[in-house]
Amino acid sequence: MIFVEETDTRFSIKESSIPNAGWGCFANTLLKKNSWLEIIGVYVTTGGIADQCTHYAKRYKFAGSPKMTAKIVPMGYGGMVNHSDNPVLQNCNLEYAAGLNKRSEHAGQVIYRFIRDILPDEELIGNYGPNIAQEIKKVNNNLEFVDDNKKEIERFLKFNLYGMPQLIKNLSHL
Amino acid sequence: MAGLFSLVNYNKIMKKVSLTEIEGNKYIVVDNEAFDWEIESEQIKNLEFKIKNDPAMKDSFIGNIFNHLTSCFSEFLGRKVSLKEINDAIEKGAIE
Repeated sequence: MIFVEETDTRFSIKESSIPNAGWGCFANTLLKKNSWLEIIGVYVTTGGIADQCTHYAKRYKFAGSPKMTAKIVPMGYGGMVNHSDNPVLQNCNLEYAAGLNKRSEHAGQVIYRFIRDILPDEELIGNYGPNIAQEIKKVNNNLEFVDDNKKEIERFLKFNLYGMPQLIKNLSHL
Repeated sequence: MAGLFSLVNYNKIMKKVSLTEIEGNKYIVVDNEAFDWEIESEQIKNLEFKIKNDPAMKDSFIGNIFNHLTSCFSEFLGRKVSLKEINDAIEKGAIE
């Protein structure tokens, strides 16, 4: 068993400033432009058994190599950096940085590079790329639908159509 | 102008909406045609698996189900409708 620990003291985890995003990664100190956050974790072969068995982390995995032959299951702050489509909010970019001096033995070759100075207490916000962005957009649309239609969903369930009350009850109890 | 608005309203084609039960499942019927909608059992199993692995996604999946239902009903009717319009139609027994 590999024992992995995040040891970078420049960051901490707090509730994200992005709605519905859960937790986020925040700077404890001033982070200078062009500095970086190492993504620590473990590599799994794309499509391999370990990749399949870590399906629970699907939304958090990173492409571990330019040819996508490996994925990184993050174990540190890198997995907590949230995404925004808005370039104004973005302050770091994912970068494949082979040959970089590693600060952690658990770091791979993918980093978050800071694209401007990041102030203490500021949240790190990146861009996951178009595929993940699309998935996030879909999740947000669905959450928005529930928020906007709470009363109507309850109203529809009272008609007892299409076995929906039982289905929603079963899913809610999971 | 009032007359014109009345004429427009008068010309709206209303469809009859009712509910029917087929083999223990209740369906919406529009002008004698049943709106046949379901989530396949394989998809339900998949959803259950995903929610077990990522409970935070539960609301998103529930939203997805109702979003899907609303889109399919819109397609069935031939125009975009909201979930509220579907509920109103069931209660009133008619939809435009």
